Amino acid sequence: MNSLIFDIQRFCVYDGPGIRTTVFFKGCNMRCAWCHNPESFSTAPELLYRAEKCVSCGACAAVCPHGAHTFDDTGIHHLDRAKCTACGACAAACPNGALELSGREMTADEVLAVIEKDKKYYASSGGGVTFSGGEASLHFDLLVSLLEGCRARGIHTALETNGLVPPERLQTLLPLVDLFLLDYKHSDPVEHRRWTGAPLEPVLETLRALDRAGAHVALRCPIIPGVNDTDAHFAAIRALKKQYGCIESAEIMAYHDIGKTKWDALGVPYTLAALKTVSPELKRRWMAQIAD
Amino acid sequence: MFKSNLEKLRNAIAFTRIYKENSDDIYIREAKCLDFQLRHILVPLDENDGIAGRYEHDFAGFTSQVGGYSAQIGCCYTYYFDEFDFLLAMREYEDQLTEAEKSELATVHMFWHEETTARKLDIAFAKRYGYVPPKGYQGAGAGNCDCRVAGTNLDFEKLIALGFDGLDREIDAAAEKNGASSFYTALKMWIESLRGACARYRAQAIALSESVQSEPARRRFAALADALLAIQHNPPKTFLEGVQLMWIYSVSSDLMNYSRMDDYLGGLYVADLEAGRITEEDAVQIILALYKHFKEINKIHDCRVIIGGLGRRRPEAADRLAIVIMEASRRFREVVPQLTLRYYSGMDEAVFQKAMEVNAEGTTFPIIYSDDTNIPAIEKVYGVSREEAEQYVPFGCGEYVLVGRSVGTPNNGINALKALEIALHNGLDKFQNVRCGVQTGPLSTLDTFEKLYDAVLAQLRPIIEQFAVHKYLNYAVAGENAPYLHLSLLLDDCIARGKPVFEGGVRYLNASSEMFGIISCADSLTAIKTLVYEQKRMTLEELVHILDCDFEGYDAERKLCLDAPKYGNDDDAADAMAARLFTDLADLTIEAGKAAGLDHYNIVSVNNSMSAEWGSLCEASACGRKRGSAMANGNGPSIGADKNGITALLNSMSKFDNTKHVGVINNVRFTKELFSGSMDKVGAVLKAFYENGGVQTNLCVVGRDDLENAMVHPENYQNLLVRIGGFSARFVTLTPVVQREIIERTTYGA
Repeated sequence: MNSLIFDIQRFCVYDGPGIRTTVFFKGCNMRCAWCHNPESFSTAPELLYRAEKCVSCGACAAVCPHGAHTFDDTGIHHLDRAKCTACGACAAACPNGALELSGREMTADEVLAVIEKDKKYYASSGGGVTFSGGEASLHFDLLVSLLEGCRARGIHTALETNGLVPPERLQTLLPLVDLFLLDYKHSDPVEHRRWTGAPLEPVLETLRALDRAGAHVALRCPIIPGVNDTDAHFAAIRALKKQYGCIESAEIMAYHDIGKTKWDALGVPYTLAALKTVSPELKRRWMAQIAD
Repeated sequence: MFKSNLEKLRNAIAFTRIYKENSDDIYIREAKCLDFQLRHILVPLDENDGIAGRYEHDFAGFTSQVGGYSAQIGCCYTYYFDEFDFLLAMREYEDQLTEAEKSELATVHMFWHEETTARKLDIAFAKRYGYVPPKGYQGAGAGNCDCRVAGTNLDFEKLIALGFDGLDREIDAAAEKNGASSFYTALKMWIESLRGACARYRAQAIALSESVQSEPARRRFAALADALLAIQHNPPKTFLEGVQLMWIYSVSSDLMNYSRMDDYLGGLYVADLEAGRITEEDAVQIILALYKHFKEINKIHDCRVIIGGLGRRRPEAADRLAIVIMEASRRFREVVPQLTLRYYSGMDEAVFQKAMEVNAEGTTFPIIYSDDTNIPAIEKVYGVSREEAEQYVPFGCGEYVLVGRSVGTPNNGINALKALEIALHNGLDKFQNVRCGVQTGPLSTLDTFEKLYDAVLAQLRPIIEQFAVHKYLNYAVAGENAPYLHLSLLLDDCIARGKPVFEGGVRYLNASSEMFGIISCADSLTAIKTLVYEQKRMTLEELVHILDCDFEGYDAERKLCLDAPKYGNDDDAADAMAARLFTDLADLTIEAGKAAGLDHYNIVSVNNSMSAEWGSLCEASACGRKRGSAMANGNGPSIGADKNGITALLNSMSKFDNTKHVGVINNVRFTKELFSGSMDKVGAVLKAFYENGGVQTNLCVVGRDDLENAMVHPENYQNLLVRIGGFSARFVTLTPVVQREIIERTTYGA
C-alpha cells in the first residue's frame, strides 16, 4: 500500500500545536485558484522546471529516455511535457537544481519512520504529526494506517482537510484524529464553486459531523484579496464560530505569492499572477474582523 | 597609551635585571617580577571607570596568555618578549636614549631572544623530534602547535570566601604543616603585591572623589575607595567589593575566563539587595562597569562568564544574579563576554526564559550548555566524581576545565580534512605542494574503503602523538621556569601539597586538542565510500583527478558528490561516519595523552574562524566543497548540506559519544521571525535536545537578508553579531570569505 508523498517537513510550527512533522500527500479534489502547492493537485508524479536556474548545460537531454528536453540553436531549453513520463532521470542529473521531481511513493512504514525521529520534540512541545496535502483523505487506506500507527506510538495527530470527505470515511477518521484543521474558503456557494471548483455544502456537512462527534476543530480561512475578503465572509466565519462549539480556534491564512513560482515551474497558467502578498497590517485587520 | 614607549624600554631593562638577579630561585624571581610588573602595567583609574583595573603590558613580562596568541609577539606564555614593538620603540627613541641605555637594551634584546619560555619549549620539542611544529594554520601539513597556559578557571569562590588575609592564613597553616618553602613565601609576596595594587587604586579613587564635579560620581568613587581598602585584608562584604576583588585579581593575572560568576557573587548581591544597600539596577550598572573592561581587553576567543547549572553552592541567589548578568549582556550588545548558561532539567523557568529573550534580540548570548548531557559524560571522560564533574566549565571556544581543579590548555590545531587530502596524495599536501605526510601508499593500493580510512588515521596518528608530548612539554617547561603564583594560589591542591601548578600541584593536568574539519572529512569519506567503493560511479584515481581540477569541467560528478548523504540530516549512514571518525580521533588522542604523561588529553570540536581560514588552504573535497572554501564548523554540517530542518540537525548532533571529548560546538541559526514568534516552541525543541544527548547550542538569531545587506552596507550593521563556532564577532569586521560562509550556512525558518 503506497501513496505519493510530495514532501515531509519536520519542525513545523504553524500546522497545529507544538512542534510538528507535516506530511504532504499528492492529489487534491479542489482546484483553488490561489493554491501555493499546485503540485499537490495531481496524484501522479510531476516534473518541476525552474527556468531561471537553467544554465543550458544539456545534462537533462543527455539522460532523458523520451526526448522531452531539447535545446534550440540559441541554447534555450525547451521542455515538452507531453513526452515527459516523470521518471526523474533528468532531475537527478541536473547540476543546478532547475529540475525537480515532485512526488515519491512511500509506504506507511517509511513515513512512520520519519515521523518517529522527532518524537522527543513532540513530547517536549505538545506537538505531533499533521497530515496535509493536497487532500490527505484521498489516500484513505494509507492515511488510516498512518493514523493507527501514530495512535500506537502515542503521537498526537492532526488532519488538515478541505472538508470534501465522504461521511462514512469521516466516521472512520474521527476516533483516530486528535485535531481537525478544516479549511473554510468561501461562504457563498456559487463563489465557492467558482474559486475552488467544488461545492460548499459537503464542507459544511463535514463541519456539522465533526461538531456532532465532539471533535476538536481549528478553522483555517485563506483570505484572498478580491476573492473572499468581504464583510459578508468575515461575518459568516464569526457565525460559524458561534454556531459550532467544536471550533476551538479560527485562523486567517493571508494570501502570499510565494506559490506563484511553483505554477510557473509546472508550466500551468496562474490566474492570480498580479496579486501581491498581503501586508501584516492588513492581516491584523482581518484577524480583528473574525474575532469574537 | 598611558605611558610612552621610552618608559616601556626602561621598564624592560629593569624587569630583565630583576629576572637575572633572582634566577637562582624561580619562585622568588616570579614574585619579584610580578610585583615590578604590577606596579607598571596597571592603568590609572579614570572618570569612566566603575571598577578599578585596566592594564597595558610592557615589552618584557610574565603572563600565561596576554590576549592569547598575538601575531606580533607570537605566543605569550610565561616569560615573554615583544621583540617587534621593542625594536620599533628603539628606533623611535634612538635620539633620546643614552649610549649606555642603548648598549643595555641591546643586551636585553639578546638575552630574551634566548630566554623566552616559548623558545625553550621549541627547543625541548625539537630535541626530541628534530623539528618545531608550525605555529599557525598557514604552514603545510595537518597540524600546528602554539604554546600558552590558557583557560584556567580559578577558585574564585575561595577568593571571595577567604579574602587576602584568609589566603595568607591558609598558606601559613600549610607552611607549618609541610615546612616553610620559597614557594609559600612567594605566594605571600604575590598577595602583598595585590594589596599594593588595591592601595594605589584606592588613592586614585580618593583623588577622583575629590576632583569630580557631580555628586553621584563623587559618591561612586568614595564607595570604590572604601571597597579597595576593605578588600586589602577582609573577604568582601558587599557586591561591589566582590566584583572589585575578582577583577583586581583577574586583571593582575591576565585571566581571560571568569568561571561561575552568578554563584561566587550571588550571595553578596542578594545580601545587598535584601539589606536595601543596592537595587537590581545598581547591580546591572556594576556588571556593565566590569563588561567595559572585558571590551577593552576584547579577548573574543575567551572571556567566558558562566551562569546557571548544577553544583552551585547557593543556587537561588545565583539565579537572581544570573538574570541581572543576562540583562547586562542584553544591554551591552558586544562580542564579550561569552556569557554561558548551564541548563539542567528542573532549572528555574524564569532564568531559561530570560536566556531565550536575550538570544531573541540577536545577541548570540547566552550560549547554552546541557548539564543533563555533560555532567555524566565528564564523570567518565575525566574519571571524576559527580561532585567534581558538576564544576565543569567551558572556556575560550568551548574546551572544558574543572573550576579550581584542572588545567586544560589547548594549543594545537589538527585538520582531519587536510589529512584526507594528504592521504589521497600519498603524503603530499597538494595545496601547499609540500611532502609532509606519511607515505600511506599510492591510490592503487587503497582498493577498499577500509584501507583508505586507515590511511587517513595513519596521517593523523603521528601528529596526535607528537602534539600530546608537546602539551606535556608545554607544562613541564612552564613548570621549570615559573610557579605561576597567580594560578597556584587558587588551584587545588597547590597550597596543600606545597607545589606549584606545573610541579605536581594541580589536581588534574589535562589538555585538549582542537580538531578541525571532522565533518567535512566525514562527509567526504561518505561520498567516496558511496560513489567509488559501493556504486562504482568512478574510480578513486578519477575522483582525485576531479578534485585536483577543483571540479572544473566535472559538474555532473560534483553533483554526485553533493547529493551523497550528508551529516546533519538525521541520515544514519552519514551520521555514523561522522560519529566513527569523531570517536577514532578521540581514542587516538586519549591514548596519546596517556603515553605522554598527561592526566587527560581529549579532542574538542569547537572551531573558531579557523574552519574557514584553514579551509582556504585545502584542495577541493569529495563532499562537494570547492578548493579554498570553508570547512564545516565545529560539529555543524557541511555548508548548505543540512536540508531536513532543525530537528533533523539536532538529532545528528546528538549522535556523538560524549564520553570521549571535552567540548563541541553546535551552531544553530534561526530567523528572527521564527525565534521570536514561536519562542515557546523553539524553547521546547532546545530543551528536548539538551535533555537527550545534546551538548550545547550556539544560537544565532538573524535574518538572511540582514546578512546580505550587511555585506553591502556595513555601516548600517555595526551591531550585527554572529557566532563563528566558538566565538562571537561583529559580522561587518569579518573577511568576505567568512561572511559568505556564514550566509551559506542554513538559517532555519519554518
